[in-house]
Amino acid sequence: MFNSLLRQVIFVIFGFIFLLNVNADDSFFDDDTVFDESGGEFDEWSDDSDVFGEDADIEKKTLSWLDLGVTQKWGFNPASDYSTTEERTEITLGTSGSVSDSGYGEVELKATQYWPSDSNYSTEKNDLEVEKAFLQFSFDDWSTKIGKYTIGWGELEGGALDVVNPSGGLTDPSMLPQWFLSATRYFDNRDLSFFYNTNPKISKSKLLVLKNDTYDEFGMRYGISSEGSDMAFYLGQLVPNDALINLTDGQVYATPYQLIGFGVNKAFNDYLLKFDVAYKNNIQQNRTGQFIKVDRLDWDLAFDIQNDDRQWLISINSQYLLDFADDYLTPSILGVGVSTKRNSMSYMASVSDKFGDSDWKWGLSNVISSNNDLNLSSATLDWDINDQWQASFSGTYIDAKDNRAFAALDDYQRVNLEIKYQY
Amino acid sequence: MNKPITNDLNLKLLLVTFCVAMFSLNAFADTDLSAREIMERVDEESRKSTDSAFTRMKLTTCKYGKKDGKIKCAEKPRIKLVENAQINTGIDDKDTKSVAIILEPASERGIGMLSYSYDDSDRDNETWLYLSALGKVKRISVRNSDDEETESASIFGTEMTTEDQESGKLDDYTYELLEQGKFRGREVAVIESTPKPHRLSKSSYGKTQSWVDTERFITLKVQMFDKNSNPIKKLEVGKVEKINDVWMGRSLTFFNTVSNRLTNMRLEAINFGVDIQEDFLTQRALTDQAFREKYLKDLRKQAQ
Repeated sequence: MFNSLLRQVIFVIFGFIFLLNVNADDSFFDDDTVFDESGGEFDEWSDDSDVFGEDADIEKKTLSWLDLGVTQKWGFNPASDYSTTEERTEITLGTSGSVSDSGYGEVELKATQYWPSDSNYSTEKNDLEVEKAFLQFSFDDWSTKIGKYTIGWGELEGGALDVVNPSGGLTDPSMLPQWFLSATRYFDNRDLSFFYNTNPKISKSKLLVLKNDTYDEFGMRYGISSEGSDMAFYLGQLVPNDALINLTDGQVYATPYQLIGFGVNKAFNDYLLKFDVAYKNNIQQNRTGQFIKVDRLDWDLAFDIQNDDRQWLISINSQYLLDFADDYLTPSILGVGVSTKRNSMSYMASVSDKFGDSDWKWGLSNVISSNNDLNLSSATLDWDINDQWQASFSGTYIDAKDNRAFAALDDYQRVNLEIKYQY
Repeated sequence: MNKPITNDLNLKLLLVTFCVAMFSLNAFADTDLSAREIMERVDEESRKSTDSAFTRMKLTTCKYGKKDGKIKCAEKPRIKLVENAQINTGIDDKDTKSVAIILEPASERGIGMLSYSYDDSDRDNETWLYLSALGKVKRISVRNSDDEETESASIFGTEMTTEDQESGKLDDYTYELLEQGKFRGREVAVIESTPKPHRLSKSSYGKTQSWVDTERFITLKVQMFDKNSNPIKKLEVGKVEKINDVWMGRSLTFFNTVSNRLTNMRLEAINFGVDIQEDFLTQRALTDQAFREKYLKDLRKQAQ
């Protein structure tokens, strides 16, 4: 009863804000305005020409220090009569600004309401979390930052070195912030940074229990920037972002591994070449009757191509097991072991562009993962309605091989709609 | 969630190319300078006036039409408020380094863009963007290729492109003085700039015509043509004022006459000769927000 009432209240508020905005827009769309071919001269142009009128004034916010965001999300499964899989409302409140003379801080809280048709509703009806909160202080050549935020490593998102923050999952690549303490020393065109995390976030099934205690993770990055290229060296002890089930005892583990890495980008004409390589020591691995640790060499190569508003990203990613035996096993999503391949290759291609000069943007992507065990295709359509409102429509389809690790995801279909308001 | 930004925000002050200054003591009412010499003066004076500049600008973009014979915005305009700090550097101060920070709208607030622009045609300009959602600085590939079909990148999704912002590279063009006379009450020279073959392949424009005030050496209007000599875009410079002994236009409006969209860039505040250290114009200005805010506060104080 309460949820129903709450939902109605949120929809009323949401609708009211939308209505206000639409009404405001009405005054800016004037039917009398004639869209002439305007290739000719504008001889009447002068300093007094008032193109925008009062519309060019930036709206004064009532609470200028407060950033408000409201997002309504829906997800449907076309394979099941478009049944609703996701229906949730997210409200974010945030602020940012200077703290004393040499400090800066940001904080953002996110409240999520899961509605009964949301797949999450059975385990969690609502949630309140600190989405982001940090303080940063800068003294001379040093900078320190403490709080919950994101640290990005490597050149390719989701690549060999992008291992510090976990992502939202296979169909949600957004990064999840974590609590860190970090420090950076800046030189002329170089920087040396360290981070420390006492409680790394680990993704796992809610039905499984993490066996081991959590470990600390820490790392170091040394970056060098030069004309046409940036590079960085990495060193660290990290906890896996995804826990791995031990097929022998049925429990999940996330024990630390050590990493040495190198990433570089180089601009060539319209495109940007990106390369990452990482040697990883003590990676968890199942084999028949055992749960062992192995060494692995990961690398990725990507081309980022920009042509007007059209952007292409083409990447190849490899995970090569330096130690290997035929009885190595990879757990499937359902917890069954399937044979491990020594070299796991993934390919990704994506393209995005605008529809002409409109406020609509489209995107297409295809990911072939784990030697074609999984093939994920997605399409997005974004509408940048105005400075406050955005809408996004997307579709995802997964084709997965039978009897392999992702078999449970075969014929996965989702259609998602998201409407966002920011004030 | 960070809004993906793919545009090159190489925000050199617009004044670099189009809003150019001169000191009135050096006025020439009837210029006998050649077209090339006039453009050299324009370029030379612009560099003097834009070195160590700190600017707050409002970028307003909308689809436009004509109503009662006047150009009017036909939809609610998109407005971005941007702060920009820039210095000239390199040999003869012909290269530039700048950092631009978006203040409004809220959905893009804090997005920073660092740009290095080189006068030498053989050196590619560089741009970096900080993506807070990814927690890292990203180098952006910018158009430098010889593909004639491509266009230079839009800035902030506006009708301004990186090519519109470019300065220098005078040797890449040939200049012709088309006409001299009065324009908006000013003595002007209309100069046609045609890119040389190696430049043409990198340009969106087949030629441009500039109305240059020959007393103030400020460009009042620019008409851009495609490679088939069709007019495709136009710049109108307005609100010409003398600031800190420098003549400049505070309002620049780009008309895309193909898409019927316009972008107005209005300088809300500008200060020259501000003490901007080169170490501010580095990637640190993107990743270290405390450092950036502290520095910007100091620049705002100097600008008052």
